[in-house]
Amino acid sequence: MHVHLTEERPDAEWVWSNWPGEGRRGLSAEVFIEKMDACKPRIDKAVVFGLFSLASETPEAMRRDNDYIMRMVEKYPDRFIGAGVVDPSWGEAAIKELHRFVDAGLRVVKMRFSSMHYHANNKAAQRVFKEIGELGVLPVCHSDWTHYSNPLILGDLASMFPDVRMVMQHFGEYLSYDAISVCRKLPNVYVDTSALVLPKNIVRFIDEVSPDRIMYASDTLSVRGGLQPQDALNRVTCLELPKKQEEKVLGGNAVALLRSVGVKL
Amino acid sequence: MKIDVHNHIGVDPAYEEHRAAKELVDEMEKAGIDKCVVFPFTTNPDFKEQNKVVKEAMDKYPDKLIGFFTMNPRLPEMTDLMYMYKEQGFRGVVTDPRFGVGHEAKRFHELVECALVLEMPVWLHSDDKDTMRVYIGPLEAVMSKYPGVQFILSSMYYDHVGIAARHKNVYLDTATHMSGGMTASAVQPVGTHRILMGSNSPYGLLRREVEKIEAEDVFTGFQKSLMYSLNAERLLKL
Repeated sequence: MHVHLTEERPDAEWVWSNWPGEGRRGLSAEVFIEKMDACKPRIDKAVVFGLFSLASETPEAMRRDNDYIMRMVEKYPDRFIGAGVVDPSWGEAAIKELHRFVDAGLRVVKMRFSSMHYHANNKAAQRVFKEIGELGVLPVCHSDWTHYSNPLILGDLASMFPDVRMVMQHFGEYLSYDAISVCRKLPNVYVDTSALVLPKNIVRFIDEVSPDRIMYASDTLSVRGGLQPQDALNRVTCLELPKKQEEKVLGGNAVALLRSVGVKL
Repeated sequence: MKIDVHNHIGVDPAYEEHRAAKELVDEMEKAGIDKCVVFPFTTNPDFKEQNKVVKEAMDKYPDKLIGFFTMNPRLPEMTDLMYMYKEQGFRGVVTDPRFGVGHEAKRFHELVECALVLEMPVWLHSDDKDTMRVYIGPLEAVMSKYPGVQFILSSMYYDHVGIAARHKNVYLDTATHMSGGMTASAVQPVGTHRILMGSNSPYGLLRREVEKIEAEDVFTGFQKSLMYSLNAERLLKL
């Protein structure tokens, strides 16, 4: 449910901004497919979105990232479910971009308020969420321990739009107990398991919140290091959940949620 | 003389705040502030347009407003823009990790290096440490690497008192400090000579910042004058 893809670019477009010896960042669609195939169990499909435009220097940067995702979804329709990135800071231009990629077929919207350095429940985000509600698409929002994206702030945003289902990505990271607390009260909030620090809180979530609102995710964004899909799978499988529960976490819940917003699976 | 070093004008798209220079100037008069440092809201990614708003304000109120510009280090033309803004009369550069450039990145180092050449202070959010992928280690490494650059850490969170104590080229502003007493707690490790009065208006109030300092009886008259204006005058070569 959570992979960042980036377009391969000629050296001249990125070396000027990197230290000597520092490799290019990012992960192409083809490299990630190899990783999906190598995983045990194999990963059939992934929700993918851009990386560099999470807080975009221009509206064009958002469009460029989203165009790449749309091309990769078209090229690998059996492997990828595309999500468009929106940076609400751009106001009208952000709303326009949201409509553009939804019209083009994407049904998932990625937002990362910690990149934009403002609280997730701000006015600009509320405006985007209102549009998301009217379009019937799925917002997936980064969460962490900061005052910008912590579970309580994201929960406040979700509580303003009870008919919009939202994925709180990363399960709050270090704040997974807070994420559980929020999800217990808000039935429209789901979590993904990427970057979750305390894996046993997956069991706690299933027991105390719901077995239907938690989904496997890796947050892979690089060829090596950082967060990788096999490690993220191991975070779930090491718990030795009952088979039905594990199936839900590893795919069943994601399929049901994505279908509910019109993703064809 | 009183100088407030932390004020925003323009448009904050996140919180839908719109603030004209005139509103700030009116507030200055009521609070008895002589000069203010102004720059765009760091939540606004359209920084070139917002820098224009600041430039217009500087031109309209040259005796009252001192402009800093915001810069996105990701732009290839960054240093050309910095020279242009210097030429236009801006006195400092503001940057922010919202542009997706960490303190360890080559582009951030280049921004600081350019600020060194242009003899401009670099203004940073000190609460950046609470955000993703911004770590204190790389920030301190830059402060050590460029001792000739003056950094202003805004919002005096606790860690930054320690950072300022370790790096003599760091100034702190008083914004978001809960009380004058908490500002006073930075005096022993840092020294009053590197503390600047800054309100973070319009989210903070100019008047409140003066009162925080004024009401704190552990400050001597000299220490107050340092924070009110002498430090800013020295730093900005006013």
